Amino acid sequence: MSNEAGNCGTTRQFFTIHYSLLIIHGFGFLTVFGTTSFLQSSHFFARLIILRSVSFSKHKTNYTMNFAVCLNQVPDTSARIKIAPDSKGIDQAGVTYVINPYDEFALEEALKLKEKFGGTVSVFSVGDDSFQQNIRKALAMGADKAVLIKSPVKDASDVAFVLSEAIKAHFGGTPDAIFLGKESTDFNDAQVGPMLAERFDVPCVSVVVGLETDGKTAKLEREIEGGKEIIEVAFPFVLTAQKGLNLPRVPNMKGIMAAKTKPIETKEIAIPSAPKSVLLNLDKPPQKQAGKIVASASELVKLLRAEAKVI
Amino acid sequence: MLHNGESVETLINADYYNLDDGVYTDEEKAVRDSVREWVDRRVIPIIDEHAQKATFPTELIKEMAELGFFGATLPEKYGCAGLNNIAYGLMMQELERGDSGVRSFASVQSALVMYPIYAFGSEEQKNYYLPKLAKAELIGCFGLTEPDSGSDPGSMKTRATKDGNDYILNGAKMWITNGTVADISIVWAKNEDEGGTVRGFIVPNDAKGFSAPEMKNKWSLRASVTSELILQDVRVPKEAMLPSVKGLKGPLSCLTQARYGIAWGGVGAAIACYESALDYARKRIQFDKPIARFQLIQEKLVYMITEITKAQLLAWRLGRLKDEGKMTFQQVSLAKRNNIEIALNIARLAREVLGANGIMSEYPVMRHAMNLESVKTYEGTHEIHTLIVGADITGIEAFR
Repeated sequence: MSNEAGNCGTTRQFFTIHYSLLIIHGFGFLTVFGTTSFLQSSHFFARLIILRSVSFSKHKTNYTMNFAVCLNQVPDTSARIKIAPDSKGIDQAGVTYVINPYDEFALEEALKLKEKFGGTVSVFSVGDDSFQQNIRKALAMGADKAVLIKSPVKDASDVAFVLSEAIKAHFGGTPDAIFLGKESTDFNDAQVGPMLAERFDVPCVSVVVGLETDGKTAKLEREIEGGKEIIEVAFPFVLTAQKGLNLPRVPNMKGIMAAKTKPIETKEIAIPSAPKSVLLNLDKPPQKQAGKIVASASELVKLLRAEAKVI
Repeated sequence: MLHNGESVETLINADYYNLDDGVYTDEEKAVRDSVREWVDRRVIPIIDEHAQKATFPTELIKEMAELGFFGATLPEKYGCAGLNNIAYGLMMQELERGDSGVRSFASVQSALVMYPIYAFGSEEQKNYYLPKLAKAELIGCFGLTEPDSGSDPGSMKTRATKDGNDYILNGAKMWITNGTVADISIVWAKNEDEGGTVRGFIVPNDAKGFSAPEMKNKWSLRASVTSELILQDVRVPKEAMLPSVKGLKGPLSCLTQARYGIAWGGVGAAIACYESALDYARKRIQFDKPIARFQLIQEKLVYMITEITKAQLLAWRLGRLKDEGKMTFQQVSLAKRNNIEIALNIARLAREVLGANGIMSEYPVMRHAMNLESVKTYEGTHEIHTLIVGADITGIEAFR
């Protein structure tokens, strides 16, 4: 196994620090092997991590692959958000919903893999019928089927639970990979991806900006502070997508027409436990105060000390 | 919303009457949004440079074909998408929001080349040409207008004479969009064998005796190729003739298709100018206030959104009538006449709102204004459309 880790050490030229970790992510335990080599270069560095699921050797070798993509919808970024009178949600008037942009990167990546290896892409959403139009867009882009889960979810944990149940039922187990955005641009919790991975007991690689694969393992690139991290992972896995992974396609006219006849299954999945967190209140950030112009440096120091209390 | 006085930031697109809320279907909106996204991504960033250099963005042709923009209303069996006419119209709107030249390219390929082959061609012609035109493996153009025959196409001089199993074509066409870049031309000529009846021919542009020099130095539709077609003893087999139509109603029915798309295209150009003017008026500070604060500017902006809203409703109703098979060519004339005139007015007003900046290439308004000067005249001049509607409502023709 340390041999496998060593083999991956020559894939990039611009590493300054280069070490490989082998993480065995199996039935609830993790083992970390130490660093192997260091190379010199400029200010970039990248880490190489190999994630292997224990079932790797048994994983199928035919290249038709079936992917799940989780799709949320969020207010259009140009919408003006007003908080609803009960402070528990937003005022829906005049707000249009679009596919969560990070989920669109995830969908595009799944579609590219489907085109490369053959197979299917199924889309999973948790929400009401207002999702139908955005689900149709995903089908127009090339997804094959969709499942809309109409469960009264309260938090990210509920969402991950109903998604995992729907995905398991749809594929009769774990699909070849599950793709979703690194977060939704509404609440930005970034929790559903890791929670899903935990529910399927597969590795999760988050904030991914690049993917290369031969269909058995995938090299996933992540942006990290000042450099890149390359992670090798065996299928199946959960990927959460970051901007930069790809440029999502524009649905073509035939795709839009074909989407009309693709199936959207709706189902309701009971949520067994009480929510793990409760949204109490939404508030807008306080209005910015106008800046203050002071006459001298000494006055500034005085105000920073006495009023702002920052020095 | 702007009209409840609370905010001036939320009117982000020109949909004042909430047509998105139940007037356009989900499928129609999906088509529009897809084309809109493509235009924002691929046309708007590059179109100014093409207009400045007077070149057509040929790099976009394959993408347009892959997205299904050519012959989009024709059936799937010919490799087309089978869209309804509202979806097709919204596609034209969005393309022209980018540039009239790009919309013209799609209009010609779809309405003036694929449509006549679909409507008047033999099954062999349809099966051979339509899939290739849909994929842009072939580019087409449409030759009706001549140097001395514009509004009066019946006076055309181009002739077809039978010679054994061939026809020999002689004549000259002018103001032909895509002529120089086309692989085939739909040429309309008087067939001397049938006493001068107008017939359509599919002519390969590499035929001996055929040339298509580009007409250079335009101040309008600069990102579009405009050409002459010169036919000197061009020999085509008799199978090149479109068998199912005789007389001027052949080319005129093609023009009805194209004018329908132009009525929608005008809305797109108008929206581009309006959004540019509205955005500028909110940001441009004079006398310590955004100029949108001033009544003379508001009056211009209100004119724009009013006329855009009316034009959208005209185009939408026309599309429904077309889908129901009830549209008349006079109704198309009314919509083309109105929508292009208001689009041109809006472009000129937007230029005024933008002041000196209005003439600069950073903003789209001067390019649209110059394009629309052509659009007002091509595909039936504003004046002829006036007389078509005039004849329809009075029962008296005023143009011959």
